[in-house]
Amino acid sequence: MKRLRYFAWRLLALIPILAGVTLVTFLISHAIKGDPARVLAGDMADEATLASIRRQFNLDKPLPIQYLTYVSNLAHGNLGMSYQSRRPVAESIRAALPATIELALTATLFGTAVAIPLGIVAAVKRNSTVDHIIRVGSVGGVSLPVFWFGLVLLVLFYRQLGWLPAGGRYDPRLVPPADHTGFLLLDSLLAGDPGAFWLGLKHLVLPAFVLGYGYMALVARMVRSSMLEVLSQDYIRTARSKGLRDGRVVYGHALRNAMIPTLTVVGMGVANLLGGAVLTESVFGWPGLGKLSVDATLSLDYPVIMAVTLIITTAYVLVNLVVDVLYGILNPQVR
Amino acid sequence: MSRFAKWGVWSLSAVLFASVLSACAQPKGSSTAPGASGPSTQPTPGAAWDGTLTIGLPANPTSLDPRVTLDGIAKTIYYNAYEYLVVVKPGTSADLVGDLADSFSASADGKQWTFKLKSGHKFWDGTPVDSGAVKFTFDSMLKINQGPASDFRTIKEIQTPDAQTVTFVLTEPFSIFPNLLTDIGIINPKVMEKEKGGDYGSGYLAQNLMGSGPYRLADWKPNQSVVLEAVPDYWGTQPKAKKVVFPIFTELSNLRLQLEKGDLDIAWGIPTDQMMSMFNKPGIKVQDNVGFDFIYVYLNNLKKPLDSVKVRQALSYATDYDSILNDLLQGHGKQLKGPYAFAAEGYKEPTFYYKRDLAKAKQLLADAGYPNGFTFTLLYASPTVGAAQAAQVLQANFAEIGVKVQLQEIAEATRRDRVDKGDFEASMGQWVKTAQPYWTMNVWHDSSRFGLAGDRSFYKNPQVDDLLRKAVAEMDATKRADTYRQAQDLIMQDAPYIYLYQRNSMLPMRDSVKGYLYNPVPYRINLPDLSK
Amino acid sequence: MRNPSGRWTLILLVVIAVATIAAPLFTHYDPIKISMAQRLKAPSSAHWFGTDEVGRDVLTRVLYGGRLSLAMGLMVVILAGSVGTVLGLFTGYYGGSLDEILMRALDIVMAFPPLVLAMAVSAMLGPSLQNAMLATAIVQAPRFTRVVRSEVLLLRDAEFVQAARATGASDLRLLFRYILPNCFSSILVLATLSVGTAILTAASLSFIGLGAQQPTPEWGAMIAGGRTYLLDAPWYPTFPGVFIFAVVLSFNVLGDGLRDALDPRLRGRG
Repeated sequence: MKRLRYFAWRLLALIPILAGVTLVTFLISHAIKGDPARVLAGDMADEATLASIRRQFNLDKPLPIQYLTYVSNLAHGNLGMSYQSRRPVAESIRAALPATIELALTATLFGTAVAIPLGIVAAVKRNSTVDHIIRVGSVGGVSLPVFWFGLVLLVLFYRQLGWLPAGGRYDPRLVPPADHTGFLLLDSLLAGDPGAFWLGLKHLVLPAFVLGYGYMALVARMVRSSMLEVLSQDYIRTARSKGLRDGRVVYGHALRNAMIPTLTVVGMGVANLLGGAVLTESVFGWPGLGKLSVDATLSLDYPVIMAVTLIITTAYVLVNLVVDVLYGILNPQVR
Repeated sequence: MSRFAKWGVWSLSAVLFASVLSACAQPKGSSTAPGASGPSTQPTPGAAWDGTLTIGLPANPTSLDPRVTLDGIAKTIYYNAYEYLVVVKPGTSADLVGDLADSFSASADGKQWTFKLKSGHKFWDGTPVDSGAVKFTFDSMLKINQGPASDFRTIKEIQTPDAQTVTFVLTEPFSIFPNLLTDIGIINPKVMEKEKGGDYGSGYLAQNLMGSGPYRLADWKPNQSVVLEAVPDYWGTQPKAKKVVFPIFTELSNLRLQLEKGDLDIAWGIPTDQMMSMFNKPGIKVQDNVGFDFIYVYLNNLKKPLDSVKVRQALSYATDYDSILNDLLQGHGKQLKGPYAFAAEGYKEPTFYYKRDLAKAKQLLADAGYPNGFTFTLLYASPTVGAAQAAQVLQANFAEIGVKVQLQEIAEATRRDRVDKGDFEASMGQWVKTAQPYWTMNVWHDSSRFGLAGDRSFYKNPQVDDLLRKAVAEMDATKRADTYRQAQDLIMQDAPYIYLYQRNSMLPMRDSVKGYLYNPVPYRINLPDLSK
Repeated sequence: MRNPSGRWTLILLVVIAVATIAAPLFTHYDPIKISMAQRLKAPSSAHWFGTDEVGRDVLTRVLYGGRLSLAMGLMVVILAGSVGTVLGLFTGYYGGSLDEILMRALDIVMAFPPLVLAMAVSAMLGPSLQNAMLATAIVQAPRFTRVVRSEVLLLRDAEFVQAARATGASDLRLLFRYILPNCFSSILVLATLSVGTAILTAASLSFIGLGAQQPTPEWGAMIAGGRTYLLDAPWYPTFPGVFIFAVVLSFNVLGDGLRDALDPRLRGRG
């Protein structure tokens, strides 16, 4: 009951947080030097042209008025128009968000599924060859430049072996399955088209692997280290000395406690995957949010910057909420 | 055990790196044949062509409305969907030829331009392309007043005496007016049915096409691909390729990988440095033509010590033009021997231009009162082609005469903002336009255009201003060229910019692509004649 | 240090550090001077790691560049780690509304697109190397806070802390003497992994003017600059990458060794 109330409280807290986010994003994005009217109108535009564009996009008003207008539009569900594409921002988000979620989810599943067993093995077989290989391999995940790793994989699997496509979500020459959900894999299943599903999956493999690799590295190291710590705790020693079999000690007691710091990293990872996939998305031409936000930042497309930040922040706060609730379940001492 | 394991791990990672390196360096010839395996949908060599062309692009297009957009990628997409009053004659760099116009002429004072339209040209819905459509296109462009509209500010009025005649009345004589028209596709006025909130249909046309050209938009997935298809029942000649797919790339190395493998027929936007290795790749030919893409350095003429003519001349003499051309571009370009660009209308090799002369540079610097040199900051941003390298060469060049250059890479939007406000000492710049001396002469040097509008060096010489304005009002091409040359002589003495080079237009494509004809207007590919 | 792999990597780190500090002893090339005729040459006996796009020796630039990169990576991690850890200790220990507000604020910071943040920092404070480090540290600090906080939540009611509290230890003493040492392993894992991320992140900011500017050699900037040349001159972005890999790996193994040495309960095991 108490937990439920806490959950509701946190959901409610989302409102002021998002209000804060809009304000901070608004201020920070407007602090960037540059004039969006100039970006739109081009170099040769005269002052009158610039003024008319500023008027059209509401850029001629004082900042507080611009902000209030934005917030009130937002309250009506209107994310505004992109300066660059001249399309409603919601449309760009609608196209990019499922792509990003599809990629992030696959990367998370892959990363977690691989990282937790690896971390456990590395901890239990500490200082063995297996442990060393896992540790070196996971360091690669955080120290290899993404574009380098991504391109090397492309050279290998696309150019040399010809097993996987070079990028994008689907073959641009083919007509993809009807877009119901925006999730290509789901859409191809809905359309009952296993060929499309297979092709979509093949496009997903490399970006998900590259994105999941860095994440996996962090989680595996965290699991290993937490396991080691927990395995050295008195109660585990006691359990061991009581003659409990290693398997039960490791999986029953140690893992449960080691999961708590690990969960934090998992939570951070999921959110980072949503917003931080910029480099992976650009190497593989994946049409997601990261790409959208970089383009928007470089071209001072304020409405898009604001919308992307809002979405990532919301996702972030929600993921962390789930993580915090899971803490409570795993460790009754917390709250 | 542990020590042994450690060594094992290290040698393993060393092997991994080595194998990956060799995979990268391996020549293309050893890879599997295109289409032999994997996801490639490329038809096997020898099979009948399915009528599809695939052209890789380096970015997502922004608005597709020709009245609004300044984006080169968007122009590549919309170019073959619209028709124009005039276009540049294929095979020439500056000669105009009618597209929709049968003929055109100017009044003696250069203030009235009359175009007679060809008959039989139809929009896709069957409506004829008449003078009303032309008037609508330009009128609405001026009303929307964004992007290209600023080039057309001299239009006072557009008259349509009959359906086949359209007359542009200008506020002042403008000898190169028709040259501006190669950019503006004539739009079907029925777009007004899609108008929203007084936008003259520009919201709709941002993501749709409504023209009279041979291709129409079939599909556009933002940041993924754009697909054009041949217009069914087209009034004119059917194009050879029934479908043109433009996949969009953000990683340009990937763009190149796909061209090498044969998944792309043409790759647009491969960086200059990678382009050099495309010249000797099997299965690939590079279309290498004189381009109108200029790399130069803005020297802020209002900031000390760059306000001194002698200092600017010294920097111009210190620059190693040959090294930049031969090492960076491997000769695929020309030194910009003055603002009157090579192959522009009426071009003649100038008698004076800057060559590297360190002794002279040092002497000039001493005369200017800086015998021990000085320090200044040179800005550049990544979208400027080859800027980082050229800037490093300049830094080394100037160090030899004791001038210290601090390089500063900044975001493009910030660089533009600072240039516009004159808040800089020097900046790398790039200019891509057509073969009219007007752009590089008037626009770069007329002091009424301080800032981003064109005079980015904040250069002012009243004599030059007069000559430039006289030239653009001059209807006689020979006299106009002479006047421009006079202005150029004065400008070169003032050295307001460092004129570096004019880059070739290089477009790599598969050997199998047939019928390519170079279009000297930047960002244009003539699609209808292309086939495989 | 009893851990043998720890000893080896310590030696490796010392070798890298000495090689970068004493770079002039190992190479006679100038790390700055360009030589256009020598551009993008493959590794050879004259240039072990090949040359870059303006003809500079890559080995030389890697060695000289290590000074700045190592210093920068360490500074960022120390800054982010110490600020993040202290925040995490207090917010986890005291909990309540302080915790709620701080953690929600950090959610915002962490969710913020790093590029927007970096551009704003550059616009407000001016583009410079220090500000690049600051921006990178701001991006990284909340990770430490989150991890430390989750440990503190676990530890604050642990038996040994309860016992210490019963003897009248102050909150500060509890936090720094009893709780903090037990968070070390997580902090070290994060810190040692973050050195590489910090170098790479700082480099990704260089194209908006934050970070090392040409011609200053720096690993991250070399990787970013060499990006275009990966297919034609793979040695150029790869060798600085190998060094970052080696450094991060060494820090990790070293971190494990350090933890063993510091953590009272792990002492004597292994």
